Amino acid sequence: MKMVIAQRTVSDRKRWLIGWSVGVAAFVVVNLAFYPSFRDQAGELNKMFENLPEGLRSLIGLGSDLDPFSPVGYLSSQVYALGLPLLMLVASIGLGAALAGDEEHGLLEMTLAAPLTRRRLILERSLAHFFLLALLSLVAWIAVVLSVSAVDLSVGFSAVTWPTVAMMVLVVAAGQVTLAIGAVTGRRSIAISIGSVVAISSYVVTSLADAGIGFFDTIRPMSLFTQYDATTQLQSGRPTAGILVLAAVATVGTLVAIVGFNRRDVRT
Amino acid sequence: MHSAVRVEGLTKQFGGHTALDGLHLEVPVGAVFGFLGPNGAGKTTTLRILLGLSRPTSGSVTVLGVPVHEFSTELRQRIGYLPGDLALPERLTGRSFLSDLAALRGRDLRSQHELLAERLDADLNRPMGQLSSGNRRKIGLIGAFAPEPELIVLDEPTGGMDPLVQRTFRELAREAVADGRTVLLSSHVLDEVQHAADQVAVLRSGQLVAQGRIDELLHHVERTVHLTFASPLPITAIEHLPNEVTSSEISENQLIATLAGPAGPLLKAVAKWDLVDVRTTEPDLEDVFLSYYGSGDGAASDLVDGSMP
Repeated sequence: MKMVIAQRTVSDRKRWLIGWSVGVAAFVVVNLAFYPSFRDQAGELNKMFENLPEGLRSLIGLGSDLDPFSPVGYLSSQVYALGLPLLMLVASIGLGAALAGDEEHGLLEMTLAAPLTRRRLILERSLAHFFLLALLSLVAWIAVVLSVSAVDLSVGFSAVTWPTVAMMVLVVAAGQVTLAIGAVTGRRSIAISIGSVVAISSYVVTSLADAGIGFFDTIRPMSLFTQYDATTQLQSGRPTAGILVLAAVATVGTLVAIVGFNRRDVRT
Repeated sequence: MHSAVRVEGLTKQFGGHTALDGLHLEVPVGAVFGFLGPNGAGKTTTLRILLGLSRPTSGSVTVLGVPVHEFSTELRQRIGYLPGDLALPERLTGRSFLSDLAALRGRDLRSQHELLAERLDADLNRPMGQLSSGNRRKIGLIGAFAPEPELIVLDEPTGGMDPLVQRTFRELAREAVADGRTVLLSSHVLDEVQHAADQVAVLRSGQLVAQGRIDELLHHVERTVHLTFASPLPITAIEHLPNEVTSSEISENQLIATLAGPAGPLLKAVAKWDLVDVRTTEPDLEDVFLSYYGSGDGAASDLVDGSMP
């Protein structure tokens, strides 16, 4: 059987894909373009940052012991630690909430009255979301690779590959959590709210844990951003186990979406 | 032969609200069956349960011999559906949307789509967001009829459509029935059902209040008859009117009677005077509802049996 739903989900989002690709690429290029001038003023800026409290330093992506003006430190703080994943999270949470949005508009009535199981609807849409987010991640990766060579920011090829993969799995996970909330409740606004709260609180928990605040340190593994851990992968050039944890979150989200949607009435 | 749809003791509750309250309904195979009732009577709720979009709180529902709680895709392969509150992807053309629906059935129905679009005068080329609501419903109708399913479920099918298209719709329904298929359509407009359906069920507050052939049901609905005579009638004329007349008044040479039942006895009763003109108001759905709803369930079930209220 042809994947009608997956194909339609992707082809409905051609403009979406172009818009987000431009946004993601522009974000990467603009941030990395300033690398040479920041590097030249590294001494002064470093003194300024040192005066900031530790918690604040973590929140703005300077939490690690990394020199923020080293190539890896700059890539981490300016692109991978917060900005790029946040941008991509907005895209993926929006995708994840679209199912509930379609349901609220009554767009699923004729589709689900056709010989199509709800499980298949969820799986095909999830596959389409994964495909779209993988393309966006590829765009981000190409933008990073081109930009770092243009501004002479010396990091290895593989050093940016794994953080990009991890970011893709992170945003897919957040998207599937959002999808699951939408499939269980049938409400787009609840899906978006909870998806965003999961993403943002994850970031805050990891940052405050990095700053050494005890309570956050204990709940740190529950944060999606802890599992994401781009900085370690940028430094080592190797994947971390967190990618598997995020993949597991995405899988559980998908299963919850299927079970939750199967158990209730389609809303009118 | 089993029924196309058999509903027994169907109850559906939403939170504290009871939308369907022990509904019994049987739709025979090979008929156009009208499902009548005011808004909020539970028509859409019932139809959505048939499609597996909504689940019964209790009761049993069998469609084409298959219990719906099994939610098999095989069953939905045999059903076509037009939702009452039809929403369509705005940027998609009718043609792409319909070919998606056909592909979900694993079929290529392009030639049927073109054929039906021509008969219904539907525009398959424009993004559906640009179509009027009547023209969007045509796309939905094509989607329901094109696969030629055994059961076609239509929720308020011809709302917003012009009379010519409504006639084409009735032809389509007739053709389906001639093929031995079944059409189940709901409406709150009697007119929509009156000309299309063989049998109707009337629903009120989630319960069946009457079921039968449409002409029989209309027969017993109160309507007003204006009889005009050549000369003024004697006041005593009123005393000799038959039982079917529930109220009457005389003004000069006119007799205005409210009639519930066949008109024959009334005409016989006034035959001795010089009758010039007879006018009756067409009973509309409101009259149907008023006559059933106003007189209570007992009277409604009498009507089903064919006896007088």
